[in-house]
Amino acid sequence: MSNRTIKVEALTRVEGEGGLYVQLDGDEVRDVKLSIYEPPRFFEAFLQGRKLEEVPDITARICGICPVAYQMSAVHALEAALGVSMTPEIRRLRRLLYCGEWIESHALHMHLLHAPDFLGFHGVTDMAAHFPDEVNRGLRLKKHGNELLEVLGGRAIHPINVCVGGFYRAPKREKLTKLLPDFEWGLEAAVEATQWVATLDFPDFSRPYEMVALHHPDEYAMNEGQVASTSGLSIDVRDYEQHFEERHVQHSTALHSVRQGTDASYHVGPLARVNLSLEQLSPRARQLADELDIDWPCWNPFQAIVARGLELVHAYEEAIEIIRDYRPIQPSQIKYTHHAGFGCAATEAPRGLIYHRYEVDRDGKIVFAKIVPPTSQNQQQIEEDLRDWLPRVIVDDDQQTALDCERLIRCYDPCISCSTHFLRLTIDRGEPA
Amino acid sequence: MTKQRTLVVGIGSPHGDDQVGWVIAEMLRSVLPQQIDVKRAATPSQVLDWLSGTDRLFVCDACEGRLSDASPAICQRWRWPTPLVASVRSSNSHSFGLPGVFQLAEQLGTLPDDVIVYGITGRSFNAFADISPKVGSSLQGVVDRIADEIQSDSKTPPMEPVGHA
Repeated sequence: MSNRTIKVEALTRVEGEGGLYVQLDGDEVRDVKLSIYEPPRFFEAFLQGRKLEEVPDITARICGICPVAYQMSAVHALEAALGVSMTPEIRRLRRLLYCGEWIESHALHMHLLHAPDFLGFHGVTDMAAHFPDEVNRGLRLKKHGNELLEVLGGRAIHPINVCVGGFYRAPKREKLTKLLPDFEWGLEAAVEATQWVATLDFPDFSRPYEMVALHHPDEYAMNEGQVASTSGLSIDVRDYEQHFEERHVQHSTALHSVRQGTDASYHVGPLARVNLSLEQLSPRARQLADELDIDWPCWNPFQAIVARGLELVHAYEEAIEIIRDYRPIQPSQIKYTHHAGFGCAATEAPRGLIYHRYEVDRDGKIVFAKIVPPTSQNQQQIEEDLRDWLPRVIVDDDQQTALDCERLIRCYDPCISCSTHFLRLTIDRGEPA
Repeated sequence: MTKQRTLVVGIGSPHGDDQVGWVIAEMLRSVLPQQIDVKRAATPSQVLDWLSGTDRLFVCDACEGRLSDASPAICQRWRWPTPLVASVRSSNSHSFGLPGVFQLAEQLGTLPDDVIVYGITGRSFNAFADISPKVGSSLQGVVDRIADEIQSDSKTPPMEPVGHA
């Protein structure tokens, strides 16, 4: 058989734009490159010289799907730089905000973006004709997440109520409790959705990943914890850059993250979180994990959709608990004074760990910013997965091969806009013999 | 005044002329009767959240196009379904574009009978920039045009496209 090249010119059902280049020699995969060709966004550079108070709202603009992740990572890192400690009440309200983003993002990806892959549809519009109840459920759950963000964050997309030190304004109790009937329905619907996705037909494809996520002994880690891995790593977030390194690669405008020293890839996201923090899931989600026909820890990336389901259940259960207990907090924002310093933080975006580091001057202006989004951490891992996956799915029809590659890539729910930053496929089979 | 339930959605972002959907929504809110729902959306998929019980849907969004420095702002009007809407690119990167949102709503049986899209061709979409002067000065005319149509009982479509705003 001859050499050939397969190109996926534009990946679909992912956030942002990128392409995939595959070079084959017969059935042997010679090269795989996940190319991110959205223009680099230079957010880190244009934060320099800005007042630190502007950072949460600017970084929220990096992504319309996970703005809370950027806001949370930014405020925690800046608070570390300023030496500000959070009250338990503000910390709890921040977890509630994160629950809203997980609900919105996970419901969208499970029902509308990823499920069509397992059911043989090109997209959710085709799927909706055959599975209208499931699609409507996904839309309704996503709406709940947006509504929570609106109440707590001031807006459903790109919330504006998050600030360094807490929240500009604490929400009124009645505005949150008004959400409870829908959230109680949503919890049951999330359980059903997770049971449904757990019965999908998954390829037999497990990989020897090092999975990396935050871990906290007392809670399911969202915005605080040790950076832990399934290989036994457990470090303070301040040591993150001693263990993980970003590199420029020629074929992508997004940086690739690798393990420092070994150049090894690693996997971040819901599967990593569930594998590392199964025991910290909420009671209903933990019980559900045992009831499903999946062994944990799970090493099959296609079953990340089930991990998302468990986190969806967790997010509803925790949100309900926080809302029931909520009393308006005073103060909603901890006061601070500007001084020179630096700080870093990692939180858990819906699609994986996100790391921010800032240096500020004595006037409260940003001197240096570093932002490591989850998709750039997963990029090299995705390429390595594809090298293993391609021999199983490669056929003479390049379009079918491209579709099968996309299915694997979507397991990561990649957010290319964040990593700069989806998919064009090029399969290089060389010249005909 | 119409007895139908009408929803108006302005889609936008804070970036340059991409703000026009939001600005038009706010201007319409101040002139339309209270029973007409006016919403601001940051992504087209948000429209799906608000369709229940809606008979008429108006969407206002910025679109990209080639304009010379001398040409006036251009506002176009389309009635769904039309392949022309598919050619309108939002200036943001979203999971679903407007055509995808409308097609999904059609499959789910939630798309109103009457769906009108107003597209205002933008000149500049720079991050956090103001609306460009030519586009900004055209908006009152666009708002008057949309308000007249919303408050009209007539479903007879006017000439499409509307042309220069």
